[in-house]
Amino acid sequence: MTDDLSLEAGYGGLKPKKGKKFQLTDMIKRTFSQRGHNVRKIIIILSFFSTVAFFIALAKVFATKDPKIVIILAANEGGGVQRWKTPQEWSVERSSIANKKEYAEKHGYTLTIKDVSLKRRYSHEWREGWEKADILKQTMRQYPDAEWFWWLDLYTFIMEPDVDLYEYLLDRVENKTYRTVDHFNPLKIETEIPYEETSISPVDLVLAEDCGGFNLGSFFIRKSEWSEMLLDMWWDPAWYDQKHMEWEHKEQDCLEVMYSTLPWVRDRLGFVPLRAINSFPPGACSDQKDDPRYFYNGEDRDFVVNMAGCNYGGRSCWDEYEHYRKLQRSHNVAPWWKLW
Amino acid sequence: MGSKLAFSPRTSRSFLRSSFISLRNILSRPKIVLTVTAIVFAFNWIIFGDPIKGPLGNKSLPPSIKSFKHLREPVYLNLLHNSYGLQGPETIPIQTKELIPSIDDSSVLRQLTLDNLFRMEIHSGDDGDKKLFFYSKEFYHDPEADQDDAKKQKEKADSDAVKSIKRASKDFKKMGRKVYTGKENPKIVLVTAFDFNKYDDAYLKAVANNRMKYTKQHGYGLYERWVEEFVPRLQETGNLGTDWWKVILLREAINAFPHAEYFWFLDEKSLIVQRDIRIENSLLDPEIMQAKMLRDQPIVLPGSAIKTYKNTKAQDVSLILTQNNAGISTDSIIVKNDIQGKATLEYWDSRLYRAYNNFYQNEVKALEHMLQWHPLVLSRTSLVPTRLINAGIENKDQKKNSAVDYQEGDMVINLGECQRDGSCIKLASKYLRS
Repeated sequence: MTDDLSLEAGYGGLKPKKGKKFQLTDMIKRTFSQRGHNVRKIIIILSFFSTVAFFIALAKVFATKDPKIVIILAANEGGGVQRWKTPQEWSVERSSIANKKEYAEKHGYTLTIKDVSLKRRYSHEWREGWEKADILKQTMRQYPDAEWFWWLDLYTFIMEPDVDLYEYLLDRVENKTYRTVDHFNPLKIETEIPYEETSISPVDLVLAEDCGGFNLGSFFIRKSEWSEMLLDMWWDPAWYDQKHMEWEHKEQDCLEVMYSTLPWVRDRLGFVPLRAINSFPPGACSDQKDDPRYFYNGEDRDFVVNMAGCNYGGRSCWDEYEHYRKLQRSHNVAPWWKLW
Repeated sequence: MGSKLAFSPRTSRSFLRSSFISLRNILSRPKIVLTVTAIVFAFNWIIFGDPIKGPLGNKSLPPSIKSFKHLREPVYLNLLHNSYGLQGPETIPIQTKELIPSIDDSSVLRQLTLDNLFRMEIHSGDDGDKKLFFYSKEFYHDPEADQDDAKKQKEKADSDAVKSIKRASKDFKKMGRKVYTGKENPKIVLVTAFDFNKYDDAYLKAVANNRMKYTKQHGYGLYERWVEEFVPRLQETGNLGTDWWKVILLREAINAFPHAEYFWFLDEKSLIVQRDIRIENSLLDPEIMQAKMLRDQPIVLPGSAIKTYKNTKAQDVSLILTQNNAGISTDSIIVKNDIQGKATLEYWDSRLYRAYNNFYQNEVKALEHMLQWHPLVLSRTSLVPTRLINAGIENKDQKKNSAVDYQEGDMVINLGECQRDGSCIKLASKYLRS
C-alpha cells in the first residue's frame, strides 16, 4: 500500500494540486481504482445519475410551454339570495376548491374562484345564467397573458391530477376535436350550413354534449378576437325577449341557437366526447342510464366528474362527492405509499 | 491556452480507457454493484414513480391520462367544411372580376313575374289568399347536367324569343352560385343589387353602366344580384317589401369574393358621380380614416345616449356607416372581410333579428339595436361624414343639411325616393353628364 497512486489519492486527491492541471480522467481513475473508498464511489455514481436526472428535468421544463391556463371555478352556485347553505354544502365546496387548487399548483396553472351566487342584477327574467359571459370577460381582462380559460362548475371533481392539459387536449386542439355535430346530435342541429369555414379556422371553444345538448359545466375557451365577440353577443335583449320562455337552460340554449344559425360561431367551436372533460355519475341523464358515453369509467380513468344536479332526484351531493374523492385517492397514491 | 477541461483526442481516449478500467473495477465487486443499483432504483421509484425508467418513464401513466384518444371516433374527426353561399355547395367558378347578371334581362324577368321564377304555392288564410314563394331545385343544382339528349334536341327547336326567356330564367337562378376564382384578387369589391320591379330598364342600365365604369377604372371587383332573388328568403321571416336583402346580399358578396378586403355596398338609387376618386384614398386608408371618423357621435338621431367611441382606431374598424337626417343609413355600407365583419353581418342577419316584431320591417332598427347593446360591435364600427360615400340629393320637404346634402364635387349622389315620381332616369342623366 505504499505505491505512488495511494499517496496521491490521499487527502485532497479529488482537488487539483497546485501547479498541476485538473484532470477529470485522473480523478475518476483514482476513485475507481482498487484502492478507492467505497463511499466515494457510490457518491460519484449517484451524483452522475442525479445530474442526468436534473438535466432531463430541465430539458422538460424548457420544452413545455409556459402554462398559460386559468381555471375558473364557479363557486356558490345557486346560493346567496334564496337560502342558507348547509354544512354539507360547505364541505363539498371546500373539497372542490381544494381539488382544483392542488391540480393547478401541480401544473403551474392559475386558479381563480368566481362567485356565481344569484345576484339582483341577474335575477328574475334578467339575464340570469349569462353571468358566465361577464365572468369570462372580466377574467380575461384580469389575466391578459393567459391563453386558455377552463370553466369548471362547483360540483366537478378532477379525478386525474396528473393530466397535463396541453398534452391531453390543448396542443393541436384542432386535431383532437370534432368540428361538426355528426358524431352526436341530440338536438338534431343541421350538420352543415352555408358560409361555414371550419376547414380554415382554429378552435377557440371546446365543449362537450350530453343527453340534453351542450354542456357548459366544463369547457375551454381561448382568448381571441372570436371569443371576445362571442362573449359580447351571447346575450341580446331582442333574442332574449323572444326566447326566454323557451330557453330552459338559458345561456346554454342561447349558445345552441347561436351554433345552429351563425356560421362564424360554428367555425371555431370544437366538440369533445363528454367523458373527455365532463363524465357524469350514475343518476344524471337517467333516461339513458345504460349509455356508456356519458358515465364515469374508473377503468378508463376518466379525467373529470361533474355531479351536476346532484341535489335533485334523491341524490346527495355530499355522498357522491365523498365517493369520488376516495376513488380518486385510491387511483393516485404513489407506489411506495401502498406499502403502508 | 484554452479551457483546462477541453477535450483533445488524447484526453478523450484516456477518458475512455479510464472509464473502462473503472467499470472493470466496479463489476469485480458485486457488493458495490448491488448497493448502487438498489439506491438508484429506490431513488427513481420514490421521485419518479418508476424504478427502471426513472425520469424518462413519465410516471408510467395509463394512456387515457395522456389524452382521450380512446374516446374519440376518428370517422368524425376530419369532417371539415368549406364556405359556400345560400344556394349550396355546387358553385360556379368565374374568372372575371365582375360577377354580374345581364342587365338586359330586366324586362324579360319582369314579364316572367315571380310566379314563374320560383315555385309558388297559394295559401288561403283569414285575410285572403297569399302567395308563398320557394326556391326550386334549379337554384341549387344545374338542371342541364342531368338532361337527356332528347330534351336538349327539343330545346334547340325553340324560337329565339323562347330561348332568351329560358336563358334569362336560368341565369337568374344561377347568380347565387357564382364564385370568383381568378388569380388576381381585387382588394375592394363594389356590391349592388337591382330591383326590376321597382326601377325601369333605362335607369337600371344607367346604374349598371355607372358601376361597371367605376370598378373597371380602378381594378375593383363588382358583385351584382337581383333583389328579387331573395324574395323567398325574406318572405320566410316577414321581411318582404323591406330592405333586409341588403344584409343577405353583403354576406353573399363576401362568400363570392373570399379574398377581397373590403366590400362596399352602394344602393341602386345611388350613383358614383366622381369616378376618379379611389375609395382607398378618400376613406379606407387607415390614416385617412383615423382623421375622418366621427367620434362621440350619437348612434340614433337625435342625440341617443350611446355614442361612437372617442378612441376607436382605424385599423380595428370592420363596419363603416353613414347617417342621414333620419339616422343610420344602409344605402352605403362598407364591411371589412374579417371575422368581426362577417360576425356582425351574420348576427344582423340572424332569424331572431329578422323576425323580431320591432325589426322585421326595418333593418336599420336592428342595426341600431346591435350597436347600442353590443359594445364590441360598436368599438369596431365607425360613422363617417355622409358626403364621403352617401351624399343625399336635396329634398324639398326637409331642411337643408350641409353635412348630408350633395354638393358639387362629392363622390356619390343618393337619389333618394326618385322612383316615386319616376324622375330617376332624368336625374341620372343630369348628374352623370356633368
